[in-house]
Amino acid sequence: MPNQNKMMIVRPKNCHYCGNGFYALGHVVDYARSRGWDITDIQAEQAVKENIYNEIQQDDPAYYYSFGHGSSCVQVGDTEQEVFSCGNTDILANRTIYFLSCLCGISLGPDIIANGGNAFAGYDVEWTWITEDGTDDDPYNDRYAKGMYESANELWVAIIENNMFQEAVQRCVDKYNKWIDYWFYDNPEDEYSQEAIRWLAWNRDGLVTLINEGPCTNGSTRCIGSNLYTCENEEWVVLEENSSQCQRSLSIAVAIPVLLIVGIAFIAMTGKLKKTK
Amino acid sequence: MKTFNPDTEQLLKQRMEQRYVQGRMKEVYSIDPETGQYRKYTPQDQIIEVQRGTQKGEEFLLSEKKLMDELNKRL
Repeated sequence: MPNQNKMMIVRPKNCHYCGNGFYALGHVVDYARSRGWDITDIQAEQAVKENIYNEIQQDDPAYYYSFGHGSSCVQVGDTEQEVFSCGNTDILANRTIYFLSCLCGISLGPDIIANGGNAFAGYDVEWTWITEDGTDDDPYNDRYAKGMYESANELWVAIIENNMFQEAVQRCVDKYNKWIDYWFYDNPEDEYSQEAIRWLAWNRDGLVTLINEGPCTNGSTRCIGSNLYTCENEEWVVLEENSSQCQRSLSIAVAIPVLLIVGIAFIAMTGKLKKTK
Repeated sequence: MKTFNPDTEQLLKQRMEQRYVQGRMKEVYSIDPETGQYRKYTPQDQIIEVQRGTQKGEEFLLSEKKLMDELNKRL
C-alpha cells in the first residue's frame, strides 16, 4: 500500500500558460513541507511521463496533486505530451488524486477510480482564469489570478491539514465562494470584478469528485460519474457512457431522503391533528 | 445543441456585449474544446465565439449565466 506520509506534487512550467500554475503549486509545496509532509516536488522539465512514473514507483506516495493541461481522457506534462490517459492509470491505484486540469473529471477521473484510485478530484470544464499581468509569474501576486489559484489550491491545503477528502472538497468550494464574495462586496467598483466572479463560479461548478466505493467483483456494475461500469476479470470497464441508469441512481439518491422527510412530516402532522382532536 | 431558450440567450449576449463595450471584459486563458488547443481568448474573441454559436461560445454564455446567478444571489 502507498506510503501515507508521502505526497507528490507535479507542476510543469514550460507548457503554454503554465507559469502561473507552476508558482501556485509551489505555495502548496512550501506549506506541505512546513507541516512536516515528506514531499516529492516534480517541477518544470522534470514533469514528464517517464520521470513521474519512476518517482511514483520509487516513493509510492498516497497523495498526488498535479497541475497541467488536460482533456477528457488525457493529462499532459511539461512538454505537452501525455502523462496519464484513460486505460493507463493503474499506477494511481490506492492513491488520493487531484488534477488541476481542464476536463479530466469527465473520463480520466472515472478511469482512475475504476482502476483502484482511492479518491479523485478534478474539473469537467475548461478550468479558466484571468490575470492582471499575464501567465508567467506567481499568481498569488496577481490581483485577479490569486483568487482563482488560491481557491483551487485550497482542496490540497485541506488535505495537508489532514482533512477528510469530502471536507477538503467543501473547503475548496467555500474558498471559491469567499473570493466571489470578495469581488461582490469588497471590490464591486473594480472594472473586472464581474469577470473574476464569472470565472470563479465557472471553475467552482466544474469541480468533480469521485470516491472509490469498494472492490470489483466480476459481473457487478456501478456508476462512476455518469458512466456505467461493469467488473470483468476483476477490472472495472465502461459498459455505457452517460448511462441513463446512472442518472436514475442520482434521482433515487435524492428522492429517497425527500420521501423520508415528507413521510416524517406527514406522520408528525397526523399525530398533531389527533392530539388536537 | 443550444443551451438556452432564445430570450435567455439574447439577455446573456446583451450583458456580455455591454461589458465588452464598457471595457470591463478581460482576456481569459483556456482551451478550445473543438481543437484541444490551449489559447487566450481576448474579449473580442469571446464575442465572436458567441456570435458564431460555437461550443466555446455556448460556454461563454453559460459562464455569463453563472455570473448573473451569483449577482442575483447576493442582491
